[in-house]
Amino acid sequence: MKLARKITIALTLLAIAVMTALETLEVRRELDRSAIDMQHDHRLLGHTLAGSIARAWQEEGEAEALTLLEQANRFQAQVHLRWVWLDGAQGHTAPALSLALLRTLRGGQDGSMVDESPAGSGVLRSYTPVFINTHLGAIEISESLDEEHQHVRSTVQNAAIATCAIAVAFLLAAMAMGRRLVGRPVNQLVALAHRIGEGRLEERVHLRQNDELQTLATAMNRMAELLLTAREKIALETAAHLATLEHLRHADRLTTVGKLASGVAHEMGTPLNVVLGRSKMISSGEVVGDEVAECAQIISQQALHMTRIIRQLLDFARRRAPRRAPENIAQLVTHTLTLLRPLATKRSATLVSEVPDSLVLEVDSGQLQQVLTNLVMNGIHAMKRPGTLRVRAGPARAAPPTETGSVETEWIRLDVEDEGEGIRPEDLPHIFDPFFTTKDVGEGTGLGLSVSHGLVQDHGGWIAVRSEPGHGSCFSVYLPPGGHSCQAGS
Amino acid sequence: MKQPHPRADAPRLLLAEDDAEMRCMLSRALRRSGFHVTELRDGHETVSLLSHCVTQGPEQMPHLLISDVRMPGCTGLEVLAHLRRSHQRLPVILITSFGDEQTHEEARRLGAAQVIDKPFDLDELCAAAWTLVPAS
Repeated sequence: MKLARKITIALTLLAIAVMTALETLEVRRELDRSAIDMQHDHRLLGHTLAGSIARAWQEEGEAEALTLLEQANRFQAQVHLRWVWLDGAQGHTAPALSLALLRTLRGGQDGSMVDESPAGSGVLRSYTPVFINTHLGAIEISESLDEEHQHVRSTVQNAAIATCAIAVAFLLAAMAMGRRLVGRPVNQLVALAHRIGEGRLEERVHLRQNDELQTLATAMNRMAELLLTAREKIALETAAHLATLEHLRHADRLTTVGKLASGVAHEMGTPLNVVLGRSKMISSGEVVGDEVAECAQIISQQALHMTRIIRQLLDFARRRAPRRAPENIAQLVTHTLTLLRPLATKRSATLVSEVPDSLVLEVDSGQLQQVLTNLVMNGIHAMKRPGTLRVRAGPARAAPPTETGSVETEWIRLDVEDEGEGIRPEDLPHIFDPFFTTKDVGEGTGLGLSVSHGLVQDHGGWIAVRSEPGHGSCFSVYLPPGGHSCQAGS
Repeated sequence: MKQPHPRADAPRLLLAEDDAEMRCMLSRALRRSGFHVTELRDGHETVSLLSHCVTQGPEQMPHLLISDVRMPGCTGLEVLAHLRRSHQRLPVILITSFGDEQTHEEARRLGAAQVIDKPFDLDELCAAAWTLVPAS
């Protein structure tokens, strides 16, 4: 139910209650006044007759006195007069009066009582005491209350009709007013709120009334205006923010391009210079005989070196999506270590695999082997003294780096741990940057770790590193555990 | 490979370059050009030799240093900084393939006579080297 209707009905019910109460009080007052008037009339009539009756009784006897009463009775249409003995004299039965009334009458005062009759509306009986010799009698004046009650009923009925009429009129007027003053403006305000909610901030509402709702409408209009201003401001700020971001991205791209260009220039500069110098020696005739062949061989070596760099660069740029298949990791590690063993032996490094035989993962075997090769080769290069390089694997709980989420879950971790020189703390943040290398010139291009990092990311994992300068490093490759089965131990 | 022999009064030149092929080729070209070349394989070796020369007296100091910027041990820029700390005004040519503006600026600040980007023409390097040695 709407608020205006609720208020209207509540007010109407209240008005009906108040009017009914007032009408009831008025009817009661009317009844009391009427009763007093009737009693007063009875008293007047009783006193008027009492003297004549007493005198007639004294002078002309009982029969004449009662005749006089009977005659007086004939002239009264509304009232009925009769003689009653109050002390039971002459063998008559005294009327059933209350002790209080009897006491009043015996004291010479007149009194009244209402004789309730089961059928009618009751009778008002008034008694005027008359002493005949030593006996107490009284003129009883009886008047039916039917007419009085009829009057009350009619009054109540009229009052009820008037109340109902007023209530209906009040209800209709209040509803019309409520709809006009409350319902319609509230609907307008609700519609405005909905439109603002839908983002139509240019909408306004205008109420032609001067009350609280009009104040609310003004406040809502002002709110919409402020929201519109704020939205325009946010739009401008967002555009500026996006422009800044785009600018930063562009700058970042330029920086990356610059870094790549510097890296390429650095890697290619020396071999190109050698090629240039040696070819000039040949063309100028500076070298002859076997020296020409020697120069040509050097040129060929440098060209191969540059080809290798370009191939790595292309691998870095043209990373293909991993083609996954269930792969036995122990076999893959063993195969990789077998290929690298000659290099390790040359550097007096021992390669050990501690990977469980049953570990199977959904990986691109070629790409994972490339990652392992890079990590193991880095480890071998880091070991200037004889030592052991271990490859381990197993389940581990870990949280991915913050940019990809931070919930700790189950992963498969492949550790490549060397006993080499370790990585300087200041170098650690850069080890995955393209072309960053701490190896001697010619030993590495600085692309291996960068490529490995990208390949592991393509598998949904990441590479973590911990290193203690002078004691060695451990590179941990985290891979999603999908499709693996692993037994404890190695 | 047969190396040309410079004259006894040829200007003394230190060549610091870690890449063996590059070092060999540069050394050959500079010797042919008329310098007495001492080859050095890394930054530490260069600093060590320069320190030794300083203690031996000015007559033992080389006339020119040509150094690669990026070398194991310490870089060409660090060698140059070491020289300046020793108050040696020895002219220095730095060669680099990592020729970003920062390297060039740092080299200029430390007083490098010239910074040459790789790849370069060997004759140009020799010509630049001759402009920096005293005409004796």
